[in-house]
Amino acid sequence: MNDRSAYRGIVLLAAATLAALLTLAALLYAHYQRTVAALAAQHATAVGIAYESVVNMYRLAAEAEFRHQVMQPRTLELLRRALDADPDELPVVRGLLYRHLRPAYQDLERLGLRQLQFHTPQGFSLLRFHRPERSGDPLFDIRPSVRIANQERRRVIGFEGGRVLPGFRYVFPVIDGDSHLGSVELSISFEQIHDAFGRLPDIGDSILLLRREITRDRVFEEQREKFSDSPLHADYVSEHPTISPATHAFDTSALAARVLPVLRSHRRLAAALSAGTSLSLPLVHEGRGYIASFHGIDDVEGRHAAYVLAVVETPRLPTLRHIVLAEFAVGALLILFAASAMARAMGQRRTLDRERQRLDAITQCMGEGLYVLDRDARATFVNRAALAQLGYGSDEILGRIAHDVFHRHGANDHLPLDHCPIFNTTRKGNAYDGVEYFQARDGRVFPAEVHSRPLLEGDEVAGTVTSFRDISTQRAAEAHGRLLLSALQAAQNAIVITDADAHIEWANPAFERLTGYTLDEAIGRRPAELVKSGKQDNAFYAQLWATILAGDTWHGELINRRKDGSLYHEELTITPVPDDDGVIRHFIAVKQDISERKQYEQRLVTQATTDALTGLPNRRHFLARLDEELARLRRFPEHGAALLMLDLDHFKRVNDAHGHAVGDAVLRHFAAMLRDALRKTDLAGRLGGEEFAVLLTGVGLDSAHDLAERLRQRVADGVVRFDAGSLHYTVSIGVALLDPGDAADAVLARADAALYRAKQAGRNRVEPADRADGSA
Amino acid sequence: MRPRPSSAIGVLLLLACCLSVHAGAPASPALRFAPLPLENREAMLRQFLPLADHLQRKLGQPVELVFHDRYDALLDAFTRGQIDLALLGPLPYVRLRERHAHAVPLAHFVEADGQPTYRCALVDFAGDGIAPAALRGRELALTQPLSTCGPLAADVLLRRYAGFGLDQVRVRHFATHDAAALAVVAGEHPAGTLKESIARKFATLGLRVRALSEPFPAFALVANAATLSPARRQALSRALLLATAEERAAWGHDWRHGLRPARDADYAAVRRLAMPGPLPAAHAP
Repeated sequence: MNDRSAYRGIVLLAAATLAALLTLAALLYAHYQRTVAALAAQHATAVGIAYESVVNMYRLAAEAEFRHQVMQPRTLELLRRALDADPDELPVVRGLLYRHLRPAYQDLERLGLRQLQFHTPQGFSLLRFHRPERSGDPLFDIRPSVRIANQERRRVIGFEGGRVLPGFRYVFPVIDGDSHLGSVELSISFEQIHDAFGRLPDIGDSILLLRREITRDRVFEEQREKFSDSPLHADYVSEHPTISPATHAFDTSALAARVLPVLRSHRRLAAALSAGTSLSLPLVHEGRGYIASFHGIDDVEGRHAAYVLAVVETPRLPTLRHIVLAEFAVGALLILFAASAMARAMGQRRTLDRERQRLDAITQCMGEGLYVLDRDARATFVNRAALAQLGYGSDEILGRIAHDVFHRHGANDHLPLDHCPIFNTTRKGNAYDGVEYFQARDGRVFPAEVHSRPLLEGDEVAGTVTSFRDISTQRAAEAHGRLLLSALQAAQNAIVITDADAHIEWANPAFERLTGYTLDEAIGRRPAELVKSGKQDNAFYAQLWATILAGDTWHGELINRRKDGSLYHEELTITPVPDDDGVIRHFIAVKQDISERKQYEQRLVTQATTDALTGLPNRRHFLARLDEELARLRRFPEHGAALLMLDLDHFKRVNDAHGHAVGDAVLRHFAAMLRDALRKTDLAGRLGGEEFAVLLTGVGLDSAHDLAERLRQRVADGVVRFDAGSLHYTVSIGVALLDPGDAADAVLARADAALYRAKQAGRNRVEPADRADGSA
Repeated sequence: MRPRPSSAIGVLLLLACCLSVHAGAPASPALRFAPLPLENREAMLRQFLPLADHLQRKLGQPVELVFHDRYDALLDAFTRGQIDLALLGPLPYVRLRERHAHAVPLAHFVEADGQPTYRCALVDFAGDGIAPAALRGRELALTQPLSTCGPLAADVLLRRYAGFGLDQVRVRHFATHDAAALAVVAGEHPAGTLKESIARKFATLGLRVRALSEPFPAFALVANAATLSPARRQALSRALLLATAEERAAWGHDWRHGLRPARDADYAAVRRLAMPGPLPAAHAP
């Protein structure tokens, strides 16, 4: 399972969990709403029934009063008289009617009927027992019940506003035989309903909310103060608490004080009250539950006129809410627990999948072959490297006994499984490490380094896991390495391998032979500590290190010192060995003793530059030195230099008289005298035969002449002894100053000319040459 | 509708509470205003709540309405300093002043006819046709004993109408003028005495005015100098006498017609009629 599918799984699980939570919440909320609605409906029904029962009860009382008090001869007589009375007589008749029914009115008051009023057939108030001083006002426009009762001559029962107070009206037409005498009305106030509610359980506190337009706006002006605005809606008023104990009781009710603010802020209430629809609201506020039922009351014409508002505390509501919340909490916990468990399972599965993938990737990418066997040694897994090394396809191995497929012993022998050392070791719970021979599908048998471990389930071996590696190449490489090592060991040149700090890590036997140090003495030490002779200056070594540290091979010669202190010439090649990152890790130094070659070369040089008889520089060497001096003189003309040309006088006579051996002895004698007489900075050479030359540096003509004279005198004073006797000889010398502008031939010619003059002048003398410019 | 007695205390508490709250923080004590019980409690509230509101606004202090159903109880409370301002008829004022020199009349309420006086009437029911002489020995409906239109006026009116005094009849006192009027209409009493304006109101029921008294000083607002400083009394007078017609329009029907300054000397005629001595025994139905 990759990250994307894992993410998808998590999202799906989260979505499913959320959906489950939402579904649970929706179900519980719906259940809660249904239960709450049922409670509210129950309260609304109770309010409605109470209201209807009270109204009906008073209807019966009103009907009784109508029959027993109104429809009596005396009352009917007075009403008839009122119809016929002139304005002066009418007050008396009205007073008589008041007098006649005053006891009955007092009884009605005790019963709870609030108003008793007679109307004329034309709809004028004849007598209000509750406000007897107010009469004669028209009522048809504002009192449909009076109009209906008198015009349609039928009783009208219902709620209605009025000039004094609204009420629940019972209006009866008064008909005596064929005479319509008007109508009479009895009404009850809300107090009676309020009292009835008080006798019923579960109704709560109540108040009458009256529509302003049919109550306060219709009453006599002085009656308007009997109403106070409803805090719930601008269209409604209530009877003022100063005159209505019911209103007063509601206004001072602690329950109402708690509920009214909640109702005022209820979002649906204002619209419902405007529309005049009945409703019952379950409310939960600050942990307490209430039901407020608005029981709509229509007037006698079917228009909405008022509400009976009853509020009751309902502890079941918060309890119900708590129960639902608790159910939701438990349900949510279960869902979350299940989701958590699923998430854990998914996580574990992902982990296992990842581990499996990782293991598979590892096993598939690893260079070693790997296969897994069950307890019966049948292959259950084989990786790519194993298949590549063995040349089999996975279907050719999986399910088969691996031992039979590719395990061989010795020279391609195949043993039964019971004799397989790997199988026998691991099935006992032990690890097996060793080299075995496996046979590839093409028949090639190769050595394999095998590591096999038991797979344990508890204490039982459930199989094995085996890794192997074809080591045939490694073995070939090892053989090759051994060959190379042998070559290095056998090499005549000393070979030293150091680390980057020049500490010796390895050296071959030739090194020991070259330096006298054994390998044990050399390991860990620097070559400079062992063989440095001091013959090379620091600049030499600095250049060497600069070269090899730059990654280049240094090649050169130097003089080192053996363990015994002797010096030897060494031809040295140092090659830096960087690693894959280019960092120098080792140096390989190949050393060769070139002492003999150097000696030979020195002999060749000596032979090429030295006169064999006298040991003096020969003509070519001398002339080369002359050229060097002329070059030096051109750089430093103030130093001065002179050339002496010397020739033994009458040397032919010596050879002729005494033989060439004596002649050679004379020559060697003369050479020895020159070496002895000259400064170290001077150079004497034999140009040929008995002709010699001396190069004097840092001298003027006079000094050169003086030296030449001393040489001549010393030869003249000397004697050469030989077996047969001794002899004297003399030498003639020409002296020429070197000029910076001279060529060697020119100065030789000038010196030779001076020598000729010395010869010509009698020999055994020193003769200066002309200056280069021809001056004497 | 008449509030049940059981609710009366609650109503009073509510009123006191409402008024106090309306006044804001009670930095000064409430002005205790007691109107004379002329009508039923409902009517009294309706009549005097707007006036109380007016005083509260003008004085900047809460006004507390205090009700007493009997005149003598009201006068006792005034004497004890439990009332700061009272609405009193002439006789109650005179009787109060006899006992309590700190009673100071501030202003008379003008009657509907524009006069700062009123009269008491002797009434009967037109349908009964009772001759004046027939009243002898009968029981008349009177207002409270301390009411001006009670025994004081009844004696004068009876002598004027029937030629004999109150001592020739029996009397029954009613708490309010309305109750006395309706008792006559109902035939419970052949005649009665009450304030003329109230008697006229019940003419639609056949109540007939048979005799009228001399004008008495109209009802007055009487300050208690024992509890109110001169400055407070002056402020009260200004609040009452300077009330505009617009402000008075909201007051009770019988009390919106204006006020005139009142003096103790206005009661000289009442004092002449009123016999000094112990108060008559008072009882209400």
